Order: sequence, then C-alpha cells, then structure tokens
Amino acid sequence: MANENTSGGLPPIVKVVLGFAIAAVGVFLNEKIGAGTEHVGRIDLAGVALEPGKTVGALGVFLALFPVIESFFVKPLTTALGERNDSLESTFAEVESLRSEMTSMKSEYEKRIAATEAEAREKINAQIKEAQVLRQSLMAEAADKSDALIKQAQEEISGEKSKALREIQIHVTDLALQAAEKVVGKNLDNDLNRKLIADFVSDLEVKK
Amino acid sequence: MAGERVGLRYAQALFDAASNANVVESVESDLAAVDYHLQANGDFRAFLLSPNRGRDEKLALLDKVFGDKVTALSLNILKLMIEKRREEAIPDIKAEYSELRRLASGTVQVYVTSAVELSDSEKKDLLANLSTKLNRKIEADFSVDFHLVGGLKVSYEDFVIDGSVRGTFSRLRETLRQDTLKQA
Repeated sequence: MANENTSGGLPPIVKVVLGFAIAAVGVFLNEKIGAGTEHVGRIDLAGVALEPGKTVGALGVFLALFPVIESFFVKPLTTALGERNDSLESTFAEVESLRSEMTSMKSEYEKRIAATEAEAREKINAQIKEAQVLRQSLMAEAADKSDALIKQAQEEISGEKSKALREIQIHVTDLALQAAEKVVGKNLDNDLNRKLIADFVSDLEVKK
Repeated sequence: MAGERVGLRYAQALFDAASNANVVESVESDLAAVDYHLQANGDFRAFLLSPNRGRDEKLALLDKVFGDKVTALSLNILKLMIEKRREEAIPDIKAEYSELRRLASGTVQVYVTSAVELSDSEKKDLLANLSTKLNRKIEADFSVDFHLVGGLKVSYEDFVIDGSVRGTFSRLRETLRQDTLKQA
C-alpha cells in the first residue's frame, strides 16, 4: 500500500510509456538544441554545463525504468522493512505482553509474599502465644509440683518428728516404768507381798 | 501334732478301759511314773523311742522296768503302742489321759506362779476361791518366778489372771504406749 502511494497511483505501464515519451522528448530537444548552436544548447550555471535535452531524456528513462526498480528493489526493500517493522512491533508487543505478564506476576508474587509473610507472622504469633500459654502452664504445673513436694516434705518431716517424739515418749515411759519396777521391787517386803497375794485372792475375778 | 493325735486316741482307749475297771487314778499314777522315767532317764527314753531297736527288746525292757510296778492295763497299753510302732506317742499319752480325766470329772488345771512361795493357807484360800468362782474342781500346779517381783499369776485353759507387779507394770506400759500412739 505504501509502495502504491509513493508511485503516485499510476499503473506501471503508464509510467513506462510516459517515461519513454519524456525520453523521446528529451532526445528531440537534444537533437533540436544541439544541431543549431552548440553553445546555445548548453546552459552554464556556475560552471556546470546543463543540457536540457539529455536531462529530460534521463528523466524519461528514469521514469520508464522506475517500475523495474520499484519491482526489483523498492518493493522487496519495502516488504523487508515492513516485515522488519512488523517483527519489531510483534517483538515490542510480545515484550510489552511479557512485561505486563511479569508485572502481574510480580504483583501476584508480591501479594503472595505478603500473604505468606502475613501467614507466617500469624503462625509465629500463634506459636509464640501457644508457647507462652505452655510456658505458663508448665510454670503453674512446676509450681504445683513444687508446692506438693514441699507439702509432702513438710508432712514427712512432721510425721518423722511426731514419730520420733512418740518413740522418745515410749522410751521414756519404758525407762520410767523399769525404774519404778525396780523401786517397787526393792521396797516390796514380804509383808507387802503377802498383802498383795491376799488382796489378789480376795478380789479374784475369774473368766469362764 | 501327729504324735499328739495318736496319743489322744490311745489315751482315750486307756481312759475308757480304766473307767470301766474303776482304776482311773491308778492308771494315771502309772503314766506319771512312766513319764517320770522318760524325762529323767535319757538312755531309757532313747532306747524306747529308737527306731533301730526291735520290738521284742522294747517289750522285754518294759516288762523288766514296769512289770511289777504298774497295773496290767497300763503295761498292756504301752506294749500295744510298741507293737503298733507308736512309741513316739508314749510321751504324749500322760498329758492326754490327765486331760481326759479332768474333763470327765469336771476338773480344771490351774497353773499358779508367784513371786514368793505361797503358804499352805494362801494356797488353800486361792484354790477354794477359784473353785467357788469357777464352780469346778481345781487341780493346781504351783511354781515360783521371782521375775514377777510381787503378787501372783493364775492361768487356766485359755485364760490368764495376772496379779503380779510385773504384770501390772506391763499393762501400765502397754496402756501408756497405746495412749502415746493415740495422741499422734
């Protein structure tokens, strides 16, 4: 489409015919102007010789050859440039798509990271809370056990103390009774013994 | 235990026969004499109870020692026990027989232990009182144990009446011990 616009919209055959016509005019002019006066047929402009007939003829040839140039050079070049342009646009679009995708992925990843961080933070907080509860529970349990052990130890000490006191009391009682028995034995004369026997006989209570 | 059971059976048979013959007291005296020999003469006891000695030897020994000193009933039961190889029950037969005799006559055996020797009047009063209280005849075995310190102790069947100083202190000790334990 761009090639057609640059060629001015004329069909190639028209351009060839028009070119050859212009070339013929140029040849005619060259012949016409060159046959009269050699100097007249040439226009010098700042030292550059200008020959209108050849110039017109060259233009006509160029115009006649333009479709060929266009077919074998401009069109492939234009096509290549277009393909290159399309490729670049496709690449750019792909890059843009990838960038967009990357952006969305990045956003998603950031969200997921944030969610993960939040979840991790929540889990850490939960674990910390659980650990604190466990710590308090263990401390309370340890305190209870400690109290129980102390209480048990106090009871055992109290029991051992009471037991020792009882044993001492019993031992003292035994010693006192042994001493009393000895004293009674020493002071128990025959008369008293006879009286004991007589009392026993008179107060005798039997079991059947 | 087995010897006691065997002795009881022989004692029962002997007591029944002695009761029928009305020689209960005599037979008991015979058994007391045999028991005395068994206790006092170790050789006699060892010979009579030895499983290595023959029956004829033992029977001959019995005839020689008791033939003219005990009643025929007593000698026969001893011979029967030897013939039946029940020599080991002979030492038990005296006690079993006496127990059967006391049981039959309603007599109770009383063991009296005192710190000093009891006088005859004290013994008499004690036995009279016991007989009245128990409403049974009394047979007493008196002994002296100075460990009692003072007073006396009477035991019969499964009962003990402890009127000794030692017994009084023992009861007091036990009472105080129980009180001390109850206070805890």
